[in-house]
This record gives sequence, C-alpha cells and structure tokens, in this order.
Amino acid sequence: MDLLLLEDDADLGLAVRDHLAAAGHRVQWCARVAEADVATGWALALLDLHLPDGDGLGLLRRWRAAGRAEPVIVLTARDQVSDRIRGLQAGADDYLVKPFDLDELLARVAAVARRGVAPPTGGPVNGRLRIDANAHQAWLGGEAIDLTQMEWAVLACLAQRPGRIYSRGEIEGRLYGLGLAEAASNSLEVIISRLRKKLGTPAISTHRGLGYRLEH
Amino acid sequence: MSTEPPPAPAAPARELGHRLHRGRRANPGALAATAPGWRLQTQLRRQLLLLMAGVWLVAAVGAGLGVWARTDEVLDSALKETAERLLMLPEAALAEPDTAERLAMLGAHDEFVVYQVQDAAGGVQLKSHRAPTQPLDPGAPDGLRQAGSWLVLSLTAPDGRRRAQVAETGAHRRLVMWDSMGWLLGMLAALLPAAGLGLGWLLRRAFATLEPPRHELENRSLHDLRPLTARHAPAELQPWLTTVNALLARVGDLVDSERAFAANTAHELRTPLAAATAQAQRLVQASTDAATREPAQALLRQLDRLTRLATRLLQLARIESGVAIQREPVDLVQLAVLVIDDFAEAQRSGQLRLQVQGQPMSISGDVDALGIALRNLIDNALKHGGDAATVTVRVEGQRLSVHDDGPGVAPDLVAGLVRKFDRGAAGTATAGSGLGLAMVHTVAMQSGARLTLRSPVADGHGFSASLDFDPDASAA
Repeated sequence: MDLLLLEDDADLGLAVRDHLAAAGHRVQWCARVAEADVATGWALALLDLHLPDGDGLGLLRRWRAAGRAEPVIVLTARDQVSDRIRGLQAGADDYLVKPFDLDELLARVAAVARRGVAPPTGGPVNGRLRIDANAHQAWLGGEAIDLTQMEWAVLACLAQRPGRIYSRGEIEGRLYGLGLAEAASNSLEVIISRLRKKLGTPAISTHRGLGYRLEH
Repeated sequence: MSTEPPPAPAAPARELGHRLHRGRRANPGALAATAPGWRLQTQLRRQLLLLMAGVWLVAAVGAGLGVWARTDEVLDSALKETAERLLMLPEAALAEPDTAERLAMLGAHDEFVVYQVQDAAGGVQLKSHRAPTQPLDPGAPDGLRQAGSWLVLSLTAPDGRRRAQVAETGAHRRLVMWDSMGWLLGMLAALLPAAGLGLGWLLRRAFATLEPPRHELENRSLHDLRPLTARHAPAELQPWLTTVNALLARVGDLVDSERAFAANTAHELRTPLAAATAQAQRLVQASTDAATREPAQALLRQLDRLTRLATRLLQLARIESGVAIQREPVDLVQLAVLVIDDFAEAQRSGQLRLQVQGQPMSISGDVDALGIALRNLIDNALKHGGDAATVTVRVEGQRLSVHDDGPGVAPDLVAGLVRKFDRGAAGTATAGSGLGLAMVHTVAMQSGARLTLRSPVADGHGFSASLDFDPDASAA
C-alpha cells in the first residue's frame, strides 16, 4: 500500500519507514507540512501533529474540507482524551499516541485500510444496504429507497467508508460543497433521523462529540 | 524537531508540587480572612449615631444658652416695666391699703413676681400679696441684684419720694430655663432611637448593593474564571471589582500556561522516547542471534519503564496542580471508548472489555483528568488482576466502574487505602499502584465524584473501583 508519513523526528521517521517498508508498504516520508500537502500517489497518511512549519491537524482539516477522503492515522505525543477527540473531529480515522509499538502501527494501518475501502459503485455497503453513487440510488434488501437530495448527500458521505466516524463539520462541509448550503446545524440531526427511519435505526450510530457512522 | 532540550523530568513535577503546597497553605488563611471580626455596617451605624447625638447635644446646649440670655432680657425688662408702672401709680392708690375685699376680687393665684412700693424712709406702702412685709432689699441701689433667694429690681422715682422693688425668685427663673432645656434634650432622647433605626435601615439598604458581586463570586464553580459583571454595583465597588477581575484573568492565564506547559512537556518527553522505542524495536527484529537480541530486548523493556514513568509524571503534574480542571459535559461512553483504545493489545486478547448498561448520561467534569483516572484504574486492574483476569469497564448511567476478577485485595487493605485518601496523605507519599489510585481519588474530588473501592467483589476475589458522578446540570 502507498503510505504518506509526515514525521519531523529523523530517528523515529526512519524506524517507522523501515518497518512499514519491511511489511511491504511503499512509504513517502516528509518532514514538513508543506511537503506533505503537495505529495501525491498515496492511499493512507500517517500524520504527526507538532511540526516545525505547522500543525498536522490543520493540514488534515484542510484535506477534509477539500473533500479528500483518504484514511488518515494521527501519530502524536499528545496523549490527552481531548486531543484525541480533536483529532477524530478533524477527520482522523485513528489516533496512536507516541511512543507506540511498530507492530501495533502496522495492525492499525491494516485495520484502517480495510475499512477504508470504499464500496464499489452499485456494490453492497453492508449486509442489506447497496448504493449506486452514479445513479444516486440506494437499495435496502433489494428494495429501492426514496431519498431526498439532502438525505442522499449525507448517506453518500457516510457510505464512502462504512465504519468510519464522520464529524458534523465534515458532513456539513460536504453538503456545502454540493450547494446544499441551507443545511443548518440542527437540520443535520433531522436528516440523520429521517435516514434512520428509512434504513433502520441501528444503521447509523451517533458518537457524541465526534459525529456519525454508517455501521458495517 | 524542536531544538529546545527536553526539560529534566523531575523538575516540573516538583515545581508543581510546591505550587500546590503553597495553595494548600493559603486556603485556610483565606477562609479565616473571610470570617469578619467586625462589621463595617455596625461600626458605621454606631459612629454615625454618636456623631449625630453629639452634634445635637452641642446644638441643644447652644440653643439653651441663647434662649437663657434672651429670656433673661425679656424677664428683666418685664420687672423694670412693672417697677416703672408702680412708680407711676397715683398717690390715692397708695393711700388706701388693699382691703380683704379688693384682694378677694383677684381670687387665689400663684405669684411669680412680687413687688413693693416703698416711701423715702423705706416703709412698705404697697405690696403684692405674696411679697414680704419687710423691704425686699433695703438700701439697694437702682438696678438689678440678687438678694437672698430673690432677684430684685430696684427703681427710685425721679423725685426721690418713692421707690419700687420688683422681685422674682431665682428658682423660678432657673425653672423656666431648665424647662426649655428639658424640652430640647427630651426631644433628642426620644428621637435618638428612631434615628438609630432609620440609620440602620439606610445602611442596610446601602450595603445590600454590595451583595450581588459577592453572591456571584460565591455561587461560582471553582472553574469559572470569567470576569465579574459590574452591573448594578456602585462606583465605589468598581476598583475592587477591577482588581478581582484582574486577579481572575491572571489565574486564567496561569491555567492556560499550565496547560501549554503540560502539553509541551509531553511532546518534549514523548518524541525522543518514541524514536528510541521504535529504533529499539527495529534492533530486536534485526537481530538474528541471542547475543544481540537479548540486550536489545532489555533496552526495549527499560524504554517501556521510562515511558510509563514519564507518563505517570506528566499525569501527576496535571492532576496534582489541579489548575487545568474544567467543568464541561463529558460523555462517559465516549470517554471509555477513547481510553480503552489505548489498551489495544488487552482489548484484542479479550482481556479488556467495555459494557454499557442503561441510558448513559452526560456528566460534568474534565475529560482529560477523567481520562487519566480511567487509564490508571485500567492499568491497576490489568497489573494486579493478573494475566488470567478479565477487566471490565462499565458505564451505567452516571457511574463509571472498572472491575477485575483477579485475586483482589484484602478488605482491610482497601479500608487502609480509603483511610489514607481521607487523611489526604496519599498524594505523594504512596508509591506504585497506590499513586495511581491516589490520582484517581484526586480527580474524583476535583470532579465532585465519589470513588468507591471494593474487594473482594464476589467469591472472595475481584477488585472494583467505581466513580459516581452528579448529572451534568447544563445538559438537558
């Protein structure tokens, strides 16, 4: 897998890169936010937060705001629960506190990559739900569901990667990007509750303070 | 990488410890200062009342003296007028002595003023009925003078044949004076209590305007460092409020810098540890023979120890300083999920699991401090429960608990731990797992939660620690 590693500590970066490479990944290693921002051709990013030329979290927020949905694992020395919440809210898929076990990092990369695979168009999202991104159509147990434009946009966002939590900001940013700007902050709750009625309540879980997730 | 050298790990903790002790010593003193030894309001009322009474008294005496002088003048002139009138009486009036009939016409009456009309030899020709038969003041020159108990005005007619003496008793005149003084002083005595009551009411009303800011400060949570609102406060209170607000702002800055310090120290310590750990792991994996593998593994073990030590120091600095404590809504399930995520290995092996029972409620606390507490409880349970034990983190409404089904702790040891916390002695004295529990206890106290330790839980084994929170008032 093609990985992007943003880490300014040379010794740590080297060890991480070597270990990931030994496990068969191809690693692009950057030590600056600016470098990471222009890097291309990667499928999963490992971001340090505290960098000489900026904040990794800011970069992540920019990516998410621009609609980049590649999975991101945050590697950081910030070990407080609130730091973790901020990281996940910024759109991180996972959060690993330094010092970490290199094998644990490999396991997390594998786990995030696994759930990071977007369902093929027209393919099943989970057991019963199937969506066709091009046709803007969703089926539940083989039966087509009638969705409004707004509901479709939210579902499509969550269905990019079932199992990942999408923060309110990410979903609203998506709606904004689609020109559905009138999505006021409390109307997202209304859309989610309508989607739950149509898909079954357990289909979408709420993670207070973090966001929403389409279950596998 | 930052070019700053990482600070010595022990220094920040010690520094924070000192600050903490200062804080602890300062507290009882601050409490004593708030217990008033005297009340400004009472003192002010007493002083104002005394001042008022004093001024009133001086005014009364001054007025009395003035009245005395004027009254003397008036009474003296009345005596003189009477004497002149008597000298102008016709001879006939003097020739006929007062008969009983004529006297009866006047009826019985009191006399404040008596008079005599005397001839040139001093014989009394005419007198008022209470006047003595002997001359009032024989041989006195014209004018006013005291003669015995009488105040006598003598006046000789221009032809020298007649002399009038009009007298008043000194006692009567003094009585008049004292009477008027009595009225003035009596009014003062009667009105002083009323003035006292009125003054008390006014002062109470004035002092009540000082109450709202004090109330606001008193009812505030420990963590609320917003400036005091100065609405409805009198201008005299503004400098005081400004000072308090400046103090609050300084405390707020301290809290922020303490937080930044904790975050920076964490970064400075963890980054080199992470690099060393990762390199050591690479070394272990690259080594092919036992001769190089074993030292590399020892290195890794020591780095693990160092990491745990650093983590504990950072946690202590954060918890013991207590300044970073906030009150915000915390979702216990989210907290548990995020903390458990750090124990990936135990979670994958099934040794650590999360149970959510009932409807979880939002509580009020500091998510980071609670995270440290929960991490310590899980650490303890995993360490003391043994490899075979299962650790369960349970969220039930407002209760967060960690159970393990390991061998547990002797009940008297649990009681000992609790006693130590109650004495507040556990803070820094205890080492090892006791320190972890002491931190949990501190967090519980700062968050207004109750920590309950139980062992054995069932069948003579197991250990449980639970935190009971109050519901978050701000969350509907």
